[in-house]
Amino acid sequence: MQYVMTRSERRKQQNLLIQAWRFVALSLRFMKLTCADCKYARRDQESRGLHPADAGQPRRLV
Amino acid sequence: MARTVIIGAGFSGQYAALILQNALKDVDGDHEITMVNLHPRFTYIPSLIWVGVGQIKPAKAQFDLQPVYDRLGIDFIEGRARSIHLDDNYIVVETDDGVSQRVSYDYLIVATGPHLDYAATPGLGPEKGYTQSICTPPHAERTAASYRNLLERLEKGDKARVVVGTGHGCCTCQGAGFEFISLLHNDLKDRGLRDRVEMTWLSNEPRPGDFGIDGFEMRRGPVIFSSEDMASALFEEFDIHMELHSHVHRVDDKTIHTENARGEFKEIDYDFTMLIPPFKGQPLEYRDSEGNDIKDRMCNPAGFVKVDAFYGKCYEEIDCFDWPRTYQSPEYANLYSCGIAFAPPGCISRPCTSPNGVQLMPAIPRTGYTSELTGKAAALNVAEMIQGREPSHTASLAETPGMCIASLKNSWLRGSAATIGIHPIVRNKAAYPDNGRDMDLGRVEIGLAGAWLKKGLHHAFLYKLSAKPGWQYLP
Repeated sequence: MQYVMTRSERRKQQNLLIQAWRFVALSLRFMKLTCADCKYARRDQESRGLHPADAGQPRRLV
Repeated sequence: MARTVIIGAGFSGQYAALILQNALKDVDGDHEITMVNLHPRFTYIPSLIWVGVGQIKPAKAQFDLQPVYDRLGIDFIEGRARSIHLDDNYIVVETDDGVSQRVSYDYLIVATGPHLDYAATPGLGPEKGYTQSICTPPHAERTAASYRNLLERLEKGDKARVVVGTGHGCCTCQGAGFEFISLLHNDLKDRGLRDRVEMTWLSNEPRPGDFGIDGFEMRRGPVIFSSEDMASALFEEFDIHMELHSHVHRVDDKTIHTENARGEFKEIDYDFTMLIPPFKGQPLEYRDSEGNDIKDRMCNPAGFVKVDAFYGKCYEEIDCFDWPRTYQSPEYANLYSCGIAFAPPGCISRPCTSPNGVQLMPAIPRTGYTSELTGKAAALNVAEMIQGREPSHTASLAETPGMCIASLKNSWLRGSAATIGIHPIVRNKAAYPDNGRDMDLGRVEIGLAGAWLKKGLHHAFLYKLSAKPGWQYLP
C-alpha cells in the first residue's frame, strides 16, 4: 500500500507545540530502544530466541 | 599490568577507549590504554552531510583527541598502523614524519573504520575521479565548494542535472546519500532554484528505503507502514527520479555508466554528483611469528576482520545466531574488532546478480550507535579478560536496536528529519517470528521534532565521546 501524507499530517509536522511534544515522545522512544536489549534478555530467559551458545552460560548484553 | 592498544578513534574505537578506561579505574594494577589514530581530531561523521551542502564547517563536528586523553590518562600515538604481529603481540605504526615504531600490546582492539575504495569504480571519487563524496572532512568541504559552483551557475539561469547515491553495487551507507539528496532538494527549494534542477537517486538498493538493512516496518494504527512507503512518498514529493538496484561501471566527466539488476545498461548525464564509495578493510598487514602474511586467515576477502560470527553461509542460510556477539577473534583471543572494521557474516538486504554477472550486494551499515555498542562490548570483554574472566558481554546486531535520524532540512524552525528506530537491526525470527523485528517498538516519523533531535544527537555524541562530566550516563 502506498503511503500518502495527509494535509493534517503535514500541518502537524510544522506545528511547534505538537513538535515539542513529539520531540519528548521521540526522545523517550529512543531511550526505550536503548533498553530494548534488556527486554530481549528477558525474552531470552523465557526461552524465546535463546542463543545456542548461551546454554548454561552467563550473559550480559552491553 | 596489561596494555591495551586500540587502532582507530572513530565511533567504536573512541567509545571503546572511554569504556575501557572507566572499567579499569577500580581494577588492581596499573593498566595502560594506547590509542593509535591517523588524525589528531575526532570527527562526528554523520554531520558531514551538513558540511557537504555548506551549512556547517567541519570544525563544528570535531574535537581534539589529545586533551581528552591527557585528562583520562590514555596514551595517544598519531600515525597509521601498518602491520599487526599477532604471535609477538605488537603493531607497527608509521607516524607523519615517516618514522616507524613498534607498539606492544597485551590486548588489541581493531576499530579502524573503512578504507574508502574509490578505485573499485573507474572515475569515482573527488581525487582521481569526477564524483564528490561526504565521507571525510576534506571531501565534504570539496563537495560544498562544488555545490557553490553549481549554485552560481543556477543563479545565472542555467539548468542542471544532479545525481546522488551509491557508486558501486556493493556499497553501504545509502542513508547518508538519502539525507544528502533531501538536504540538496530543500536547500535548492529555499533558494528558489529547485525548478532548474533535475534530480536522480541512483542506488544499489533493491527498493526505495531498503538502506542496506532490508528496509523496516512498523505498525501505524491498523496498517503496517514500511520504509519503502516512506522513501517512495518523499521522493515523489521531492520530484526525485529513482534508478534503483544499479551498479556503476564507470564515471566520465559528464556521464555515469550503470547496469541494473535486469541487465539494462544506462548512461546518466550529470552536472553535479555525489556518490558514496564502496568500503573495504583498511590495508593492514597481519603477520605471524615467522613474518608470514596471514591476512587470509584473519580477514574476509574485503579485508574486514573475522570475529566470532559464523562465516561462509549463503544469504538464505544466515540466521540471527550467525551474527557476532563478543567481537573476539576466533584465531587470537586477545584480538577484538568492532565498528565497521569487523567482518559481517553476510548481507541483510537480499543480494542478486545481474544477467551479465554483476553483483548487487547492498552491505549492512554499522555506524553511529551500532558502532558504539560493538566497541563497548569489545572494551568490556577486554576488561573482563584483564581481570581473568571469560568475555561475556555481547552486542549482536540481531539483538541490539538501530537508531538513525535522516536530516531532510537543517533548521530550528523550518527543519525536518526522518526519525527511525528499529529493534533489532538484523531480522531475528527466533525472537520475533512474524517479520524478525519488534514492530510495536519501532518508530518512523518525519517532522521538525526529528530535526531538533538530530541537532541534539550531534551535540550529545560530541559531549559523550569527548568524555565531558557525566558522559557515562548518556546511552
